[in-house]
Amino acid sequence: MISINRLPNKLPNEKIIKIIRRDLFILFKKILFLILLIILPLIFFYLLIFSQSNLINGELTYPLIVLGTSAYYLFIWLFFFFSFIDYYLDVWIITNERIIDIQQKGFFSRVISEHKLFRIQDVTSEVHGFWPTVLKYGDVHVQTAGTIQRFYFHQIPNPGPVRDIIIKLVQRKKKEVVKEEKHEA
Amino acid sequence: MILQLKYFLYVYYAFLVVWFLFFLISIYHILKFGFKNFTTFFMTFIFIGFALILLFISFNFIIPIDWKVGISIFSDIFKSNPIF
Repeated sequence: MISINRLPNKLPNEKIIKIIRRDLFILFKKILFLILLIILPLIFFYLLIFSQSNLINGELTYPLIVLGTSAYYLFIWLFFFFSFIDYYLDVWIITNERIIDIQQKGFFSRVISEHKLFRIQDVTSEVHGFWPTVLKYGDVHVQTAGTIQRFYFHQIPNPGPVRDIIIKLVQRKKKEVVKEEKHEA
Repeated sequence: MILQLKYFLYVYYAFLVVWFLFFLISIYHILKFGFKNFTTFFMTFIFIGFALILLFISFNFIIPIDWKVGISIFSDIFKSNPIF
């Protein structure tokens, strides 16, 4: 398990400024979809009782309905947990030294990348659409001078303030780097 | 031809084996890669708890059924066809 107090490759005097996940509305949409999937068979059975009530009591049909319904609900519960893990394990950690981007891409596929603050050149926030505008979630794009030139924060809450935080941290870090270089010179 | 209901039960058990495998994989992922906090443990507990409840309810419906009952299929086709 990852401990918040033990970052991977922790640098001296490194502090966590912010831990960001995708907006809760994204999880809410998954929960709504799950509720819809739970209700669908109930509607189906309700209609079936009125039109073909002997089907439910049939010697072959009743066991098949039991097995099918059980398999269906077990499957959608597992599917919902997969969706939750996909949401929960995608994390962005902003520290005073770097940005750590942890992306869970399905099972057995995890990408962790670090971007040093002093390499960041440009930060842009974007909010598009009705729900993102009303609920204030969107994307932040970060342009770096590193190998991966652009990376993204997807569907995060309050992208504007996050952009401001990153810009301030980058400015502070660049000043520190310049001071150190002058001191060494 | 008589098809016993238990063959459908075997298919269901095969589904349960695959389901259980993915269940273990998802538990492994959240415990290995999740943060050590209340949300991780709470969601894991909820997931396992609901899964056990679903299995309990399922088997409550499955156990009373007589799975040894055989269903004859295609017998009417052979009886009604004059060639046979």
